[in-house]
Amino acid sequence: MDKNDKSSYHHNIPFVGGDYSGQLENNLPHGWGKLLLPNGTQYDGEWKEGKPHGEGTVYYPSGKIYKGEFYKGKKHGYGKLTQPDGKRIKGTWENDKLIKILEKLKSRDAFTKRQQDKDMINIQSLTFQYGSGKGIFDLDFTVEEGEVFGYLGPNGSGKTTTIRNLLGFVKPGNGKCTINGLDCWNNARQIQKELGYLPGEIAFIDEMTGTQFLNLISDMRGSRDKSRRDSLIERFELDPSGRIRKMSKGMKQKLGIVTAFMHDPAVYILDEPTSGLDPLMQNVFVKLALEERDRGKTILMSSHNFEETYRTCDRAGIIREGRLVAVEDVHSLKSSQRKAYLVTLESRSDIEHLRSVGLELGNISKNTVEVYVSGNYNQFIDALAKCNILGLEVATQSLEQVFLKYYGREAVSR
Amino acid sequence: MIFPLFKSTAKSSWIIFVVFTAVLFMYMSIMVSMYDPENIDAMAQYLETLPQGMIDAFGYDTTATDLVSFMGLYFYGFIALLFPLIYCIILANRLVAVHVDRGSMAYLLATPNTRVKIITTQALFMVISVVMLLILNTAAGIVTSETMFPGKMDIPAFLNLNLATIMLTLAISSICFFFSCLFSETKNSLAFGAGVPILFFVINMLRNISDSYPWLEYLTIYSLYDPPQIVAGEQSVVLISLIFAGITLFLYGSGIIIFSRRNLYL
Repeated sequence: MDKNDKSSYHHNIPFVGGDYSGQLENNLPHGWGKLLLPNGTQYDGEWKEGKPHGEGTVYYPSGKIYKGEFYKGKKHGYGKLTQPDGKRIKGTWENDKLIKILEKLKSRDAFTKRQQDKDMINIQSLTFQYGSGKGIFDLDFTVEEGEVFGYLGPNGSGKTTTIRNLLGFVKPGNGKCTINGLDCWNNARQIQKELGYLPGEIAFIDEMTGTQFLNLISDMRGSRDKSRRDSLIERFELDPSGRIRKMSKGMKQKLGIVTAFMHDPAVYILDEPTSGLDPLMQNVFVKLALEERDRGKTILMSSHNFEETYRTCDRAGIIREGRLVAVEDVHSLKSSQRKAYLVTLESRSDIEHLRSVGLELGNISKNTVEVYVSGNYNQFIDALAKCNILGLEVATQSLEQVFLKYYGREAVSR
Repeated sequence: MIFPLFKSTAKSSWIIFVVFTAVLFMYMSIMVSMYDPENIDAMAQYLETLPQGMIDAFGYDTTATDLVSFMGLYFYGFIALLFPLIYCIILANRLVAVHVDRGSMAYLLATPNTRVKIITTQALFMVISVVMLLILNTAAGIVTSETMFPGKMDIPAFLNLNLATIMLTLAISSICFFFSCLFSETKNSLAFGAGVPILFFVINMLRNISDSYPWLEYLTIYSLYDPPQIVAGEQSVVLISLIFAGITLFLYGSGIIIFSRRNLYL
């Protein structure tokens, strides 16, 4: 089976009569994938021997949604059930039965009721072109409620332009985008009530202190509850008392994150949220994002770093020169990821050995050779075992190099 | 109007306001103290030290005998126009264009308020602070003249003159604000928002120097405002106030509408 041919992943599976996209083992769904049954049930998550197993989400035709762990096809472990009427229960499950209710979550009032389907963010043939000819062209994708969607692309590929359209800062040239069914350009004010936004470029009102700025924004939102804000400040170890002008880049980024999260919105749009944060704070952010997702929030976050997206997101869209080249489950993206390793060998003849077994080699300098691996780890390790290795390092790569499949060789060599 | 935004804007702009109020007060009191009802020649001697071209440019080419005409001639012809003009340029740029250029407008727009509401709040702040500046200036004029020369100031005529000045300055502020709403970069908003009113001001000065280009009158809104004529009651303050009010409403309104509909690259 040609792994690069996406169509070959789709199978009509006789025993369930549905449409499965993912890996098959012994003709049974295995690993990560999506299955749509003829009766309308849809499962999206991890599989074992043809049954939902591990984490995933089932959309039942009745309108119920279960999101959590499965064991041999049954609700199991920690999970959350949304009834068709909007009521939600968080609890522990065993063999499809609710054992203990941990929390009865509030249904998200009018904001959820107006919603027709489960698409929270909907982008339809969206086009926006700048005078220079750059822009975004004919974008189409949706982000479901309760999903973290990664928006991946190198600098200048159109991520921020898409976000400008979603925030209603610019009017789409063609097509449209909606958040919770509301048009982003015409209904910006209603959308903002339930939206948390983190701009990609950090620019505050410099002469204010952090606290004054947070007060201004919450007053403009008409919310006076400071408990969530204070806990966020504590989590990110932010000191908002100083003047913003004198804050470091990381401190400003934290202030931006607190501003986006403090009013507990239903949808988040975050433009490169971890830029400027140290690894420790990046972890704090990832944990917060995942917690919010588990509370049923929808997150769209842009990034130019796949590893970060992998840790946070359920699905990701890849954009290149203003056009969407793929929307995939992050786990299947992971398998098409192409990693580069720098291998230092004792003798140059070993390089020939690596080449002869069919490994893809990149730059060779002295005894160090760049080896590209995409899924074929066994082959790589077998080949290495027969050589004398002096050093092995992971090479840093651009997003284009990681996803050569989507970006094409000409984009990388340029 | 969004009160929290108004409050925050006021907090970050009060220092500029205080500086301009103080400068105007200083000039006002110096000018009043230079008035000498017994010996108007002192002023004439002072004027002799200046080149003729400069005297014409400032509009100091006639002599005044009473205090209000004296102020109309020497203060309201130049200083009372120049400093409020600079104030309008600085403030208009800070209120809109700087937020857009720097990107902080993104945070304001990400709150559940319409663009019209946000920008109207900024416009209101502009109008209120310009009016406040000139009302304080008027009060300073009355207080200093009543202290130094009790009973010499024709207060109704002085109030008329100040009303015309306020309306003119509001029209100038609307030009600055309009261009601040129109452009995404401060360099453009300043080029036009400062350039256009300064050009009007300079044309007015050229017009005073020479009568050989009468058509210059039609190239500047300052020509609608003639302090000696207002003091003498020869120019209708109501009429010019209405014209300036029309310009003000039109340009603030257009600025707000354009801002609420245009693309913002934040």
